[in-house]
Amino acid sequence: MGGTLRAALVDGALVGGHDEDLELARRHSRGDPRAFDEVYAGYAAMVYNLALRLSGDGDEAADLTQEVFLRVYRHLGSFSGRAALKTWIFRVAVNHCRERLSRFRPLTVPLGEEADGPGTARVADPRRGPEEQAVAADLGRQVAQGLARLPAPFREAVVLRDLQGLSYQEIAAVLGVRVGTVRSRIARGREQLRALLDRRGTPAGAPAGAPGGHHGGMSS
Amino acid sequence: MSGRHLSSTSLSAYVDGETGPAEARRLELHLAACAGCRSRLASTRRLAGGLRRLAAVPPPAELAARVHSRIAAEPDAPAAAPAGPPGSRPSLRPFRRLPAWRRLRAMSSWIYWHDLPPLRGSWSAPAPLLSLGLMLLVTVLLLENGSGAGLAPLYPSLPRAHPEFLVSEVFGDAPAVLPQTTSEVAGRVFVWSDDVWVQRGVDPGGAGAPRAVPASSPAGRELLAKHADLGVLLADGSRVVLRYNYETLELWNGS
Repeated sequence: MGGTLRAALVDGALVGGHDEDLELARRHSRGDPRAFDEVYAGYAAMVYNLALRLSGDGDEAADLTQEVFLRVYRHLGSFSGRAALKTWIFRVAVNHCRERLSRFRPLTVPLGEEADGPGTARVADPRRGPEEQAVAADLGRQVAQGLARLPAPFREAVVLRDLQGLSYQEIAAVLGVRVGTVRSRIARGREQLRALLDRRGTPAGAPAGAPGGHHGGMSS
Repeated sequence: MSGRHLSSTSLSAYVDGETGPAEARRLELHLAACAGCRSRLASTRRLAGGLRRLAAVPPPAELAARVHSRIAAEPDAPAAAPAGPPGSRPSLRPFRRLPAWRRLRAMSSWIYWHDLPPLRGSWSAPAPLLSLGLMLLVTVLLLENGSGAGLAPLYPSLPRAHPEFLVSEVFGDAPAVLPQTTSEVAGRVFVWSDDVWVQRGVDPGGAGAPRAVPASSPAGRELLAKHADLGVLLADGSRVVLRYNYETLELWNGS
């Protein structure tokens, strides 16, 4: 029993017990206002940055974040603790962004034409000098703009992985797809992003001079 | 170099540490002997590293106040019923007291909330169909059975412990193979398979890999000019595998 869909949803969501999350949801159901405050404090930055990278626009991201938390407020009582609260909130946020962004506008910001703003990313490294930081900021902006041009399924997967740091299994649970699909979406998203950056003269997507063998590891 | 080059999917998963030990060993063996794949690996690492180094942007300072004032305007306390102990079944009694149209509305919203991705424009097509079918079935039951009691025998586990995964719970005993989503385009039938539309009868993994044809290449443009509706299949960012002029092609969005 249990089809592939079941496997994708349930396996992906089982990341240990979530008693604290469940307790938070119960307190919210009992009318404890501090419960929602804790949820907001814990996840506002996460949701805002997700919305920012999916929408590519700071004002839109703020609106999306507000609406996502309104939904969280209304439905936190139905959270069952099977998945982590973080996964649950990501699901709500991704779905809301999909709905809003597909309804209002496709992302068609041409590379290099987006003005500076909250949506244009910086590469954080306070140890750099001003000149280096300016170069890094420009490269970071190009990466963020390239990201905004990816097809939505790829953008979601890449953002959840590279900017939010979720594992493939967690992403599968958030998006409701198989881990294999996540693998392929991330790879293809990166492939397309690299092609976009190459076209802009950022060789092989090497923003901010990130060292090559820095992470990932040749693990076996 | 040993054997065929590694796929970008394998390299990407390897960079993320998302390969099993056996797959990692296989990749490392190949990488040790293939300079081309080592260079692609380094490039994938640089890209992933660059993305990870994008600074997190703090939410605007006034956002918390906006959220709280919006919530203060909410008519009721949390909409969901108080949660029982894990595994307990929420009471359906208040639900049964509602008139039929409100039950229907409540049910739609319940499914909406418990089956989030498939109903919100998911990129994988079969699940929304399942959800829609389920909703219609429940609607018929509710309209036919005024008490709403018809729910219990048919869906004994419906609102139990893990309602956010409704589809997996309700369809736990359903056949593992979900209905295929097909689309008829350019006189051919295409079947949705994970992330790819594959022309029915074409084996993308068969002898000889399909020839990759970017949509913006001359061959891609020619194909799309001849069969403009193929563009519909490409619109979601997917790839399309098809037979064309006695050749298996993989048409994809890109250059």
